[in-house]
This record gives sequence, C-alpha cells and structure tokens, in this order.
Amino acid sequence: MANYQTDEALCLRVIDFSETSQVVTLLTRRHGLMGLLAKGSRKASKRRAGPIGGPLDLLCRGEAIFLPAREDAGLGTLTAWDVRDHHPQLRTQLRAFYAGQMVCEFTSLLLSPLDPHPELYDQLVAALELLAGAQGPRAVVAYMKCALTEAGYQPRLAGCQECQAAARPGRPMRFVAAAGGLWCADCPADKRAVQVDGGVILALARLPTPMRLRAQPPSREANSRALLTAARLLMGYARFIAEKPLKTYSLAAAVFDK
Amino acid sequence: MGDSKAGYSTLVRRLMELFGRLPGVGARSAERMVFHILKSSPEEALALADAIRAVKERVRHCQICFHLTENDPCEICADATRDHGVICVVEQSKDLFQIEATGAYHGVYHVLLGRLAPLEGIGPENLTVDALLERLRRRDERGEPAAREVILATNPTMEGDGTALYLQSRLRETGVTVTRLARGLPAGAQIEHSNKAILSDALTWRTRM
Ligand SMILES: [Zn+2]
Ligand SMILES: [Zn+2]
Repeated sequence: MANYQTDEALCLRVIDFSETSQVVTLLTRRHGLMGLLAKGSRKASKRRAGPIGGPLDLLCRGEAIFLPAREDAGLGTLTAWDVRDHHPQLRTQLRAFYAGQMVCEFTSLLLSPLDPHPELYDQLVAALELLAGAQGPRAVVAYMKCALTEAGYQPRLAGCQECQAAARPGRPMRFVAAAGGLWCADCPADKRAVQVDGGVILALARLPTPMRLRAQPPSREANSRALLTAARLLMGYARFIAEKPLKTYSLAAAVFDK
Repeated sequence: MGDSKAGYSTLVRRLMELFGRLPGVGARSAERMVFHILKSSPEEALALADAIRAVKERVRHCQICFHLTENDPCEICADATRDHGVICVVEQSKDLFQIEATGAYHGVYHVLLGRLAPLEGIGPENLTVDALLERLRRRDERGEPAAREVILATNPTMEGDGTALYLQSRLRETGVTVTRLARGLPAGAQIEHSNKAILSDALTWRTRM
C-alpha cells in the first residue's frame, strides 16, 4: 500500500508545470515543507471536479492528501486538495498582499523540506489572518521572529554579547548576523554589523507571537518606523542564514508605510 | 533505461529534441512527428518551417496595447468602431482571445505581458504598466482624457489580484474609473453545491440590486 498522508497545509509556491498540472510547495502542518506534483489541477473544472478541486493558489489553506517524496529534494504527489481559506483579505489591500508575499518567502527560505514545524504553521495561519488589519505590520515582524526561532536561529536580543549592556531607547546597538546577536557601541564587533537603536531592539524583543497578537491585540498604535527597521534587520539575518537575498526585501517599505 | 534516441542520425535526433520541447509533447509524440515530416512531401514539410519563420519574424507586440500582431497597431487598436474609451487590462494575449470569443466586449485592451509575482522576482518594471499610464495620460482632440474606464481583468489568483491592487494604486492619479471583473457564482449555479472559495467571493464582491 502506498503511504498516503492527510494534513492541513498552506500553499507557498505554485508553478504551472504543464497545460494541465502544477508543481506546488506546501507547508503541511505535521509533515513540514514539501514539493508536490498536482496532476490535472489546472484542468479541473466544476463539471468534472476531481479530487483536486481546481488550480492551487498562493497562500491558500486547505486539506491535502498526498504521497510524500522519498527524499528531501524530490517531488511527491498531491492526490486531493480541498480549499478551506483563500484569504480574501490579502486580495483586497495591496499592503496585505505584499505582507503575505513577505511571510511566504521568509518561511520557504528558512525551513528545510520534510522538517515538521506545527507550531510555526499555526503562527503563520494567525499572521495571515492579521495582515490586512491594524495588527498587520506587527504580525509580519512577529512572524519573522517566530520563524527564525523555530528554524533554530533565535535572535539574541537581551543585551550586548560582550559586556551584557542592555538595549534601551537612545542607546545605539549593532546586530551581527554571523553571531545572531547584539553588540553595544563600546565593544568591538564584526565590521558587517547593522546599526540599530536600542529602542527598536527592545520593541522587537517584547513583540508577542502572531497567535498572542490575535488573542490579545495591543491597543497602542504600532510604530511603523521601528517595525520597518526591525523587519529589515530580521530579513538581513535570514539572508545571511540562507545565503540568498530575499526577493521581497523591497516590499517592506510599502508594508510598513504609515 | 537506455537512450531511446540511439541509432538515429544527428539531424533526426536534433529535430526530435526540438519537438519534444513543445508543450504537451513527450518523447514518443516527438518521434512520431519526425517520422511524419520525413514521410511528407518537401513542400508540406517546408511550409511548416516557413510558417514558424514567418511567425517569429513578423508577429510582434502592438506598440499601443502589446497584443500579438502582424500589423502595428493591431487590428483591435486600429478598429474605429470599437470603444477606445474603455481599456480592458489582461495578463497575456491568450486571455484577450478568450474575452474576444465571448463577443460581449467592444472596448480595447492592454496586455501586461505577465503579472506581479514578487516570489518569482517579477515586479512592475517587468510589465507594461508604464505604457498603460502613458496611454491614460493621452487626451483626445477635444482635450478630454482618451479613456473613461479601465477594466482590470487579471486572473483572480493571489498574484493576479495583487497585480490589480497595484494597478489600482497607480491608476488613482489618472482619475480614470477603475473596475475589476466580477467573481463569484456563475449563472445556473446552486449554492448547495458551490465550493467555499467561490461562495465567499460572491459574498465579498456582492453587488447592489
Ligand atoms: Zn558591549
Ligand atoms: Zn493594439
């Protein structure tokens, strides 16, 4: 018997493979990131709706039945897909659309195939729900922090790695991607360090997870400039980890624009 | 598996390879096509070669709407009986053909030559957005804006919707009316049997009666 699996998933990448089929990257909740061939998905019409109800779309959440790939780099087969949420809120606001693209790329950049992260999956679902609302910009940065932590690269923001001086507003700090941590202005740090105000670091360190943001949204208004600085810092860190530039880096300015 | 093309001459192998790169053509079909060409008359076979050459040499993008055409401007842009005040924006020429086939549209078009796809590194600079804005700034002989309405007919995919949102933000300065293709339940559909995504679209994009 073939080893079919059922899992909830988010679609992180779609490539039209042929006139009738797509190759998709799904972030499944319990099986992790995987590439799957969705045979016939582009042809599925309502008249002869197959087990794959139609073409898969970016950032859709659904219920998937699939045959996982044998090895990390290989392609598995998607045999059924039932859309649960196609995120209309990301399709009616440009800022939310961009934010969706950013968290999507961030996820596929940091996670390895077939490495399950159910907790991060739930955080991504929560973040996507928040993107079009007042908590949207916070949710992007909060999710980035979560993704780095889940991938094993939690940024160390408590204080200077050298002298333990704590970050506070007005104190210039430097973030060193190679060390994933902070240095104060008085201690010698890596030349490629990014300058950042201690206030931004403090805000970033205190930022709750997307699920917490959803459950208890902070009432005070978000500081867009601080969030933009924080997002750029985390994207620079992810770029260093993945050794690959982020294609969505340039969208940040529009997402955190007041 | 061995090399199925072993034993063929270099030229035959080359042609099989080229046919095999066409969409929907596998190695088997490519082999059958090559045998068909080898059997057919020189006139018939060369007519195919000539047609391919002619298409590549003479078909290009219309300078106004970027539709594929042999004549520039294209037949649609040159047609004075069409309503040039309404511009329907599509991702690709294939979509234009589909809309034309409905017979329900009598305006003109603008082909973007793609869609915004940040994850694939495709940005506005890779599309014909600037040319569209340029087109909308044009005035007719009475000094009125040449276009009254732009219909955004990009695909209702995440990227197509994102493209429409981006265009909407860029078109704001022109003052032109911007509309989006309707989405939701098709005529004759039954709510009981419709899928959740379509039903939620129908609710989100509901219209006043
Ligand atoms: Zn220090
Ligand atoms: Zn034209």
